[in-house]
Amino acid sequence: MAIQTDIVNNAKIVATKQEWRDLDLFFKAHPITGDVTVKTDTDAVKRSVKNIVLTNHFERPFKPNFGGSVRDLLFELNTSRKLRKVQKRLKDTIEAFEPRVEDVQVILANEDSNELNITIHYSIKNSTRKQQVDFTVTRTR
Amino acid sequence: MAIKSSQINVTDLDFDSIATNLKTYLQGQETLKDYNFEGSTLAVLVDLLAYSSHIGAVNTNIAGSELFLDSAQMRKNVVSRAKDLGFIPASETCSSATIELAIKNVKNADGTYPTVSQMQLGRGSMFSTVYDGKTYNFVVPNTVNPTANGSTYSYASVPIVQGTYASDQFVFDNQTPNPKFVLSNERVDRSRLQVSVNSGGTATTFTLSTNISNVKTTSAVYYAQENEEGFVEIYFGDGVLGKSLEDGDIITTTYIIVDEIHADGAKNFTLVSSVNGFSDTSITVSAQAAGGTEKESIESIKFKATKFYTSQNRLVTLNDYKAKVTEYYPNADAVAVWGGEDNNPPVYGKVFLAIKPMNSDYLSDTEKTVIKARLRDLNMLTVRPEIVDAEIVKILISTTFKYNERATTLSKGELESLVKTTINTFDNTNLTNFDSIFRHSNLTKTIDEADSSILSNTTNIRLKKGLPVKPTQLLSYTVNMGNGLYNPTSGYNDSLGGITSTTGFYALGDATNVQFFDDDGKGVLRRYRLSGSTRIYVDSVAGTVNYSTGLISINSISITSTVNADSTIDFTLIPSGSDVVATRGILVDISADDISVKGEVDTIASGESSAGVGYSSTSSSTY
Repeated sequence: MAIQTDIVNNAKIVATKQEWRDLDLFFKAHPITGDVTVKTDTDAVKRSVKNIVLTNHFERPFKPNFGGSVRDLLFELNTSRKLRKVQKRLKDTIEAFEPRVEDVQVILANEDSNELNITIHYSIKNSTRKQQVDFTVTRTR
Repeated sequence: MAIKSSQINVTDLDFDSIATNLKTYLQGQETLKDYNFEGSTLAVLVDLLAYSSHIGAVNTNIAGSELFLDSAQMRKNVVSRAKDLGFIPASETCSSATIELAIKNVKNADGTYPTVSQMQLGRGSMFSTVYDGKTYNFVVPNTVNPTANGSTYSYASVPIVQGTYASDQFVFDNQTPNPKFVLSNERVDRSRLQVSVNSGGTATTFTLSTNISNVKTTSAVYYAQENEEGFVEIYFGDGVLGKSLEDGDIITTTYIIVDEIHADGAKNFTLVSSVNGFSDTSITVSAQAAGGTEKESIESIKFKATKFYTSQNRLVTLNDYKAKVTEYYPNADAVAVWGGEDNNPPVYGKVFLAIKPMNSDYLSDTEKTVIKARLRDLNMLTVRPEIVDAEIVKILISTTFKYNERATTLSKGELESLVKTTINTFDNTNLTNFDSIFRHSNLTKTIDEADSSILSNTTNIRLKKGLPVKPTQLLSYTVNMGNGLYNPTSGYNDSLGGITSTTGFYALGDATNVQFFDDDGKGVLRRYRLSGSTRIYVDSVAGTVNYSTGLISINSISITSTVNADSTIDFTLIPSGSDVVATRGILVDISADDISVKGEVDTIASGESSAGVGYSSTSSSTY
């Protein structure tokens, strides 16, 4: 019984926090250390969501269905039906490939200027704060 | 189990395994953690690394495999590996025929006759044939001189080959290191390639070198091989192994481009262009078109190259002969070789070869002569090769099967057709080679398994062999079935002709009555004619039947003609056993035309009869 008591007395209560750490896709050098910049926690997730949406189908080797393939949409007809279809596709893709997020909402704004404004709202699991990522897809020339 | 970061599994080659290994490796560090999420930048890097490793591994694997003959997959590498063993794969081969051509009413306008050289049938002269509804061109591979008889010019035994005549010219440049000349067409029959070199106005014909032991410094030889793109390339000697060429020499190659469809079997030809303006022709075909083959396949190269290497270009063992015959005659479907000591009767000092071509049953006499001459160059002094026709014993199948009509949606006719197809497939799978054995139980099992509704079958067999006769010549003949014959008791079935039945023929002295052979069940062959249905025996001792060996000997007889159009008499006999063995040059084959299939509803399975009352079964001895 003495051994049992020692274990209880010496036990420490430690709160653990899941920490995500990922590289920045732009591979910028850290201004002080000179290392490649690291994205952490919500920034890492945001970067991941953006990567998923902007990756085209057949871009990742051996994963032909990976990505939102939004750049393909720039040459599609500008109809509300098409936009709804794209909204669903992006939502499904994010939920399938990013297990850290939930409550995904995709908002597409098309101002008829040959570009597409995409806003994605999501919650990180086990977190109450809503996250948002915006970006614009436009033709290059 | 956690893996230390210093350890990584490097033996996996596929993309997923490499990516998983990299992620396992990354588990050993704390700096970056998002490798498990597909959207993360780290996952992009892991995928790229895995892809790069995978492609590298695949390339290394291919490179390793392509280094060896057994594992190489790309044709150019298989050809190259075979070259290391001294084996050059066969090219496409033209289908060839032999004709007797006569041009009649040849007379110049001034009443004189043209000279023989004016009436030459030049190389490339075209003939055409219509075979299977399509027109094919045949050309003369070598210039032929006629013999003149008044106004008729005859060209005896003219070989013609299917394809298009073509020519390429090259200029030799001694500034080019290691010069090779690639023919401009891919489908070239290399065996009919002719090469001549014009050096300073003197044309010399160069021959293909097949054996460097005969090549001298001045030998006018060329070498030919298949290049990496599958084209034929030729090159010349270096002044040591064959005569070398001079700068500016003009090389002329003439060859036949092989058609993609071989018109094997064509036997009606017409001259397309006239000869010296004369075109009143008469053409008799002495050997119909045969022997068209495709370029040697990769599998065939792998098989033959090793055999070729083993035989070392010498004919000593039986396998040496087999390997060489398949090289000399790529159209061979099956080859059997046996020593004279194993022949029946034994003939010492000879080796016998039976060759069955792909699209016909027998080799032509020309083909036999060519193969024999080539084999003689390589065999031992004391042994002579002898090419004999494959003896084909046809198996006649008669099968009656019972089926449960409630267990199938197929009609009786459809089931019968299915069983027929099954028997043909069995034939094509099991009886394609000499040394094959027809196993009766395997066939009955295959028939039972043809459809789940088939419950049983009774399959009876007969053996049939054609005896080619030489009309009007007094000759004795033998028919060797190669298998024992049915004779349960002496004098078996004497009154009904024993076990022998034949097709009809006419013998000298009786031009009105068709005659046949049968046996008395005691080993004597008899010749008879029919009066109504009664057999009137013309010769009661026409020969012998050896029931244990299956050899039928016919005494000297002059047969004037046969009922069969091809001057043969078909012998049909009952074998003693159900399995049929092919010995020496005998090829066993199920005769597709003679398969008889009958389906019957099984009355017990379908509920029509109870306790077996009224159930009928088929006799195992009827045919």
